Amino acid sequence: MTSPDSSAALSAPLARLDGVRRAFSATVAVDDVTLDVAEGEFLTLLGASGCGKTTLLRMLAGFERPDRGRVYIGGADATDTPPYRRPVNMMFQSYALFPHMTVADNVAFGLRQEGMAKPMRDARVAEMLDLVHLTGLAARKPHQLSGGQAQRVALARSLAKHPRLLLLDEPLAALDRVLREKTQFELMDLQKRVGITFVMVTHDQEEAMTMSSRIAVMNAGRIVQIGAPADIYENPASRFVASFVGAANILEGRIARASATETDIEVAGLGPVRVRATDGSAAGAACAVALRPEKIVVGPAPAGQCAARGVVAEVGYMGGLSVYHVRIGETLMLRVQTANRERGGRALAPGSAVELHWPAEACVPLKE
Amino acid sequence: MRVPAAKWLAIAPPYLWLLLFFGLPFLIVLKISFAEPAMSVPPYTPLFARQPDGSLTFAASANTYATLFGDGLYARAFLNSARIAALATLAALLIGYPMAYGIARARESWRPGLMLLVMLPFWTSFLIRVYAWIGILKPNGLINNALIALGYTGEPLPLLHNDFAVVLGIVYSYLPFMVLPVYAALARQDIRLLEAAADLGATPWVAFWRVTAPLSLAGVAAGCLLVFIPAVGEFVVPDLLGGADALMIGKVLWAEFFANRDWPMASAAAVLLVAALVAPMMALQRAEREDLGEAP
Amino acid sequence: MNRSRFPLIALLFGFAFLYVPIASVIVYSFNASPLVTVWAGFSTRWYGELFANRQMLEAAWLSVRIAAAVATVAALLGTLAAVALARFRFRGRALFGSLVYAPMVMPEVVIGLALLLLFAATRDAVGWPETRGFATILLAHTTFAMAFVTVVVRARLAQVDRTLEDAAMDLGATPAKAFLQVTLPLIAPAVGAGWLLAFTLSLDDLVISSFVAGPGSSTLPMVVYSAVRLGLNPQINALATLIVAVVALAIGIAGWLVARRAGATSIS
Repeated sequence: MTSPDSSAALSAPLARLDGVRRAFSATVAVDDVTLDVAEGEFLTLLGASGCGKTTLLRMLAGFERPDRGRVYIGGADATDTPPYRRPVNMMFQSYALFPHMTVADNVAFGLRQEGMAKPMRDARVAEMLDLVHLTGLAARKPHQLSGGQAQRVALARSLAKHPRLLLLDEPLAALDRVLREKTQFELMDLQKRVGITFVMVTHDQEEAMTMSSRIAVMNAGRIVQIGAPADIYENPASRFVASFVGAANILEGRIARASATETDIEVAGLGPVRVRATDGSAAGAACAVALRPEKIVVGPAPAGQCAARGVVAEVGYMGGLSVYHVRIGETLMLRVQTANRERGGRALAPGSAVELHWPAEACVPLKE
Repeated sequence: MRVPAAKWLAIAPPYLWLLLFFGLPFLIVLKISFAEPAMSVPPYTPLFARQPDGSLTFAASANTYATLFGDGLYARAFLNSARIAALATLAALLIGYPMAYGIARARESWRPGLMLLVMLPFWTSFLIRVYAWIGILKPNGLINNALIALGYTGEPLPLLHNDFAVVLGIVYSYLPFMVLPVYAALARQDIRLLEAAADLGATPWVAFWRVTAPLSLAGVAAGCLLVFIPAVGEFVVPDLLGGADALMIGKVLWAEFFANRDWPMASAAAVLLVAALVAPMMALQRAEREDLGEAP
Repeated sequence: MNRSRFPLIALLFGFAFLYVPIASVIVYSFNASPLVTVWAGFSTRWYGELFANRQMLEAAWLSVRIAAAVATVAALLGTLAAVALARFRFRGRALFGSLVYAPMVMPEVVIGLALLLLFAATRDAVGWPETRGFATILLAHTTFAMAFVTVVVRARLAQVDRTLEDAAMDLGATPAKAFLQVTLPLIAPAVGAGWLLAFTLSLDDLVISSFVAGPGSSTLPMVVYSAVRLGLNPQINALATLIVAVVALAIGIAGWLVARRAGATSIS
């Protein structure tokens, strides 16, 4: 299990937000956040609208000034540095391409501000357009581009100055599903090739999981958990993270018996559930456990595994997967996910009685 | 996040200009309204005068205001101006709203052209267009000649040099000020709102009164204020098209200033006119800000 | 969807209302007879007389020069005011907003009177202006024309995507450079429209000019007004027709230019 504070701090980070806080009138957008960004990583700030992720991103860019706390970039205190003097560039959600300039002029804009000489500028622009596979569109104007092309121009423009840190504000939000998946892999590939540190903001947790090396889950202005995607998914720290990232069955109960390595929890409506972990809490304490739907298997339980019996209430067929809502007893509903491995395999019908089982390791005790 | 000091480079020039050439003049008007007319250059008594012994005397007189409030003439002029302006505003609304509606509902590619046609008269000489109405409205002008020739009337109708002509002239001059904001409000409306209304059983007539009209109210308000406020103090139209007894405050102010050389009286009339218009002007400013959706 | 005839009829009636006086003036400018009531055949004598009318021509030249100067200064100040109101928060902003828009709706007699009193006071205090003329008319017209420019430019500014300036700053441009290189080109059409609007307002103004002009500086509207007070004057018809022709031509050219560049400066 990871705690929010410990893995957010690194040695010699590329960027650091130290105890930053930002409030707008009565709303606190960012509430005492400390976050380090490591060189070369792909960090995603993940959360629902209003959780503060965009404000945090804008603090790194220089468009928001924290009310309290400091911002460090490349080791130097950048809190008072305006955005046009930071070695940081941003790719805007709306792309913000300058409509009165050609693609080439858009990409060259940042280079002109630096005073780069024309030959070098032209070479860099060509290099950037080549990187995003848009060579040949240099003379077009933004209104003549498709959504995907406009996005790449925005990307090329933000990379042209070889910034140390690239910020991406929901870069894939405007793309349709097919294009989005394709672009996800392209962005990951690009990041590795160019070696620039990426910080991305998104509300799409699948996107975050696919692309990032580290995810910071945010809620109500705070980072509630930070870690590698697998870590976040398999070891959620709280009910919030368990439900927000992927689906989860949250089982509430009381500790019946605790040993050095295992805990038995009495879950209402289910019976005893064994968990292969312990956090030192005594018997009788309230406890919640997360159980991912894909960890539950339909069928009679082999020895040593937790079991449950129930009735199928609803079936959701999604092609590759099927999702079952199984009613256990009077009060409990378990979500079960199965891969449809056999072609023509029989699906469970609503109303049929089923047996479910899962290994004790599958259950994750939640701290809150 | 804006550079704090540099923004004054943009704010200062217009701000200083307006303070100097708009704010300051009004303070002067206020000051002179408390003076008395005198046979001097300038033709009013100074507020502060240096006496031979070196002391400064202060002489303010509220004579002007006493006269304005006491003499029924000015009160009648104000009320008449407001009445005529209100009639003109109403007429402008009745003519201008359907025009704006027609343009807003026209084919998309026609709309800029149609708006241009509405604005084109505005770009030609206002004075000459008002003058044109004289030739149309006078006893042996276009309309009367046509009516007599067609046999609708034996005697020419009195269409000129009366309130009717003044209202007509004001409507004619200020019509674009009504059409523009109403059109802007209507053009912004989502046509799907009307489709939803129709789907729920509303006839076009009902849909208009229940959906379109209420949503265009902001534009209507702006248009009415943009016509009413300047119309109250209008001078040219009543002077050319109105009768000799047309009592409008614009004419009164002009006469006090040029004919009677009574600068203090004219100033006092101006002060009262502005005071009367402050409320509508603030309403217009608020409507404009809401319209733009900007920070107030 | 709504195919009723009413809007079309309303439009036709409205346009008739707007254009009948203009049409009548144009028609009668070619009337050989000076009387409006009688048509005595086609003639261009009034145009000849108009071009021989020195007073009218000098007044026209003065008005055009003033209008060009007014339009330029008003476009500059009006744009700055629009930017100030649209983008910045500052102390005294409410007062500034009122000062900017008040001239637009204030009755002209009031503005004219106030400015004349100002010039009289400054003449008393610092000796300027010795005589009123070009300069005083310029200052007066600019003051009220500025408001119209601000309205036009501000409307366009509201449509410009704010993040474009942010993007420019992110790429290294200072706020001033971001405005000059990104925002200004995008609002340029509105500034141009504001210039034209200010030009027209100045060229057409009678009341304020009457207050602040001096001997020997009669503007075209002032001369026309004196002529009109004496009675109907066919030269005025000719003048009106010429103005309509020039305006229609200018709009035609402008429209053609805009159509050619269509789409080039659309806001994303």
